[in-house]
Amino acid sequence: MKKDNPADKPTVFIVDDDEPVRDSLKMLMRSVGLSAETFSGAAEFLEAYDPDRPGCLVLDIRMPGMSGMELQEKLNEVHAILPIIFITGHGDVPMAVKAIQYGAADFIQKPFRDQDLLDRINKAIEQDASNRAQLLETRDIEERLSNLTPREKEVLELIVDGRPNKVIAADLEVSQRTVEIHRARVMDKMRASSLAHLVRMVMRLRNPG
Amino acid sequence: MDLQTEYLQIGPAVCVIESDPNMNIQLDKLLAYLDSPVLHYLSAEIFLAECEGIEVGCILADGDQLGAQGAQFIEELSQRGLSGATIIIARHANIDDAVKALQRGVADYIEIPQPDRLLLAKIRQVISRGACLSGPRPH
Amino acid sequence: MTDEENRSHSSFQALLDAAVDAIIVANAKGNIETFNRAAELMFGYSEAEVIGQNLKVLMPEPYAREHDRYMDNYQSTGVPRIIGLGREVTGRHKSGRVFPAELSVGKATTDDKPHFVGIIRDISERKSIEKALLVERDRAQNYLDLADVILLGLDTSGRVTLINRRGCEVLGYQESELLGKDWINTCIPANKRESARRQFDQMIGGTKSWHQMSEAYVLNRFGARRLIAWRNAVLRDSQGKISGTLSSGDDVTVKRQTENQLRLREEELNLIFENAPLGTMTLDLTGRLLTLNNALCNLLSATQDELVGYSFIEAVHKEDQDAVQSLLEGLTGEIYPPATSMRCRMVTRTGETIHVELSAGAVHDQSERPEFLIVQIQDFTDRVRSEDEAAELRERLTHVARLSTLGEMAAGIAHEINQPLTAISTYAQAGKRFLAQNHVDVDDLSETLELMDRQAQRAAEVIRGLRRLVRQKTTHREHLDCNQLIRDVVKLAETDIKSDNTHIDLQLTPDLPNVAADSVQLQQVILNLIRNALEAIHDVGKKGNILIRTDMPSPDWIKITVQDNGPGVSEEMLVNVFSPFRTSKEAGMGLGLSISRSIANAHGGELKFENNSGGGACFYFTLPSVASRD
Repeated sequence: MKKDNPADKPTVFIVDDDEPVRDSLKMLMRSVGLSAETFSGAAEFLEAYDPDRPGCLVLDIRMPGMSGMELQEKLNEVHAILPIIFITGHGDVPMAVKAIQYGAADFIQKPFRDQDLLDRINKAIEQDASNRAQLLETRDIEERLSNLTPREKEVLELIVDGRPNKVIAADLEVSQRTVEIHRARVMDKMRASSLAHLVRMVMRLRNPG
Repeated sequence: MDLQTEYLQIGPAVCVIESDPNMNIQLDKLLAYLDSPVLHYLSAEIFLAECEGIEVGCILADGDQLGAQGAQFIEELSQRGLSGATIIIARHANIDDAVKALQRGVADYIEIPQPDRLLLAKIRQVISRGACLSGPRPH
Repeated sequence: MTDEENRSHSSFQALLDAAVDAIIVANAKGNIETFNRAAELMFGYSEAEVIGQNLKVLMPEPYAREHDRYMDNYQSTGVPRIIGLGREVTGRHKSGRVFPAELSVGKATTDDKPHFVGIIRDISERKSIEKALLVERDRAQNYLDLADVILLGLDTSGRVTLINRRGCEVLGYQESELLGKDWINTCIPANKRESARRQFDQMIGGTKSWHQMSEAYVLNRFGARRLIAWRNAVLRDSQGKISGTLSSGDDVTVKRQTENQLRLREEELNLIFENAPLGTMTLDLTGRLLTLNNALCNLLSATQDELVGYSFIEAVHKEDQDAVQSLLEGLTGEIYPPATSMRCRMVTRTGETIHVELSAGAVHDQSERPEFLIVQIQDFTDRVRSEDEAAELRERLTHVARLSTLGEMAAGIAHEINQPLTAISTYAQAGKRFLAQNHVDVDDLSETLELMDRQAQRAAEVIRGLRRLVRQKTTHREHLDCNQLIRDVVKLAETDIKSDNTHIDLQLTPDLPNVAADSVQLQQVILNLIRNALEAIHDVGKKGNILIRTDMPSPDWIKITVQDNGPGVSEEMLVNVFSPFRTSKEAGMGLGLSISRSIANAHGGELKFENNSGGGACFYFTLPSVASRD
């Protein structure tokens, strides 16, 4: 599959064994200006899967060969964050519950109202974008964090825990002045605009998502 | 000090939100297999009004009974940090309700009737994740 | 003769005549001198006839001869031998009749001449009484011995004075061994002796009633205990003084044991009868209830009193009365009829109808005539109900089974229809959006409409298939050329084939005999197999080759083979490939295969498959040809 979209342009990946269905879905996506790619089976999709490409996955559950649920498992194994919207002609409640519990974004029955599907697709794409942004931010923060010296990391932890400089100095058995210097360096390296900003960044790492 | 609070000191409770007496009887029989105290609430409103401060192991709510208010109720549970401990049981289960409930963080959505063993396993699973202290009503 | 002598004589004569006994005076020679009135009556001779005659005339032979000897002896020795009291002799009546008599002879001497005075009493009566008594005694002894009871006589000290044969038998002793023995010490078990002694003393002392019945154990010679039922009486002498006891005893050991067993049996039977789960009753020959058990009461919701004495037939349902009546009457015939049974309905006291199995038999007396009837009633109302329920359940299950097949089918059909519907709907909605955006390419739109139409046709095809399925029972069989049929089907499938980049080869054996088949169904099977092959090839994603072949494995059979170069049937699917529940293709082709097989079977053929040695699967089905009939 040729990457003709810029990496940040979301794509709707459509996996359905029924050719007319995936063809019509692709046309629907095209009609609302969404770019779509179709796959006739789970294996085909996995082959083309690129974790960096944003968007969402519209996935038929019942397919010959690897089923939609099996594909979900495979994607979970590689910690894929691409949201999945399951579509099925005859799903049932336990199937839907299992799909969502395993992290699917949505589950919708065929045939669907186009707007209903499009709303869900849009929501999933937004979620994906937000997830990716957070992920990027986290990665960014991690990168900045990696530039800190061990001593600076120590100081950062204590700052985030809300200790005043004086206490930190006592804890680390250094002068208050030294703490102030470390602190300034941490703020700089982490590109924090304020103490609150710094705390938010560290908290994000502690509680990702 | 009311009885429920005192009773609750024993451990995280299973809160049953159910108005049908027959269902309550059946659930009591089932829940007797657990060590948890069981608290009954006849409606979601009553539960929300009374649940503050209760150590909750699991909430069993009748989806049929919640009806259209289900989404709002689950939203409230979610805000109080309780949706993860909630299992919706429904005789008239449907995919859309199940999906919505789960998207809002409900632990499980179960079509009944189910074998006791299965239902118990799911309740135990939820309880084993640890108790949630029901927070105050959000504004 | 002096006056005094005369007086004396006449008073003697008067005395003689008044005497009840015959008085005869004879001289030493034995000639009769005096013969009184009573003697005349006794012997039938008048005084005049016998005076001077020898006494012999009054005696029959051999006494007469003997008498002569006596007299001779007396005369020679002077010693009378017969003098004394009460000697029994035999007299002879003038008529010759002899009779027993008691003779007392006295000797008187007048004028130095000895006279013998005989006083004779006719003891015929006494003798006959004595004889009768003797007979009676013998008979009594006989009785005693023959009696099936023990007869025991004890004296006042408790010694045995009488024991009969039966008693000896029971006790194992000889009569002589027992007579004179202390009864209680000999024959009463040690632990009972004291009380037996007390009882005996009470009887002897007269403080106990005359007749006493009791049962007690005795010990026989061998130490075995026998249970005897005694009847006791005290004996009194002529003065009314108690002189002993007489007891008759019946050895009831066996009888009691038997009785006990019988009683137990009877109790048991009663218990069984009473508590039998089956309603049980006895009827007299007119059909009236004699006895009945609780179960029957319960069955008929009535009490014993409400039933006993009433006619059984009244409790039978009106419509069944005739049948039951004739069954019961059949049992009262002279010949032994076997016990019979029938099902009938009965009506309880509360008016409820119950279904019962009635079994009846007759009990016959010793002359083999029916005495009464035993009837058992088993209620199977519940069974009837549960049979009804079971039938209902089966029906429901069948329905459920049908539903689940339908459900399976519905799922398959839903999928088959949902797919084109989803496509149609999505195409339409996309088209609408394009239209709304005003940048519509007519060719695009036309193509979209074409696509939609094809999907609509696809859905319609599913519906048609469904209709064919529904009509499966009323198939229309015609003689068909399989080769032509295949060519037709391949044409139909061409659209699918093109889009899948697959090539179909036909290897049709020419001049095949026809088959009798439903063309639509046969087409469906072939189409299903082609679709199945396409799916399989599609899964692999390579260029597909499908080979359809016809041939004749035997003159009577046609074989149609659809072979593909797909992945073949996987190991795990081998078993379940025809099951509608199992399919590797979740697109519902499993349903197609199972339907196909049903169709093949319905035509007397078979649908089978195998994996090719060179990869891919080979499905083939056989059909009987109609060559022979053509």
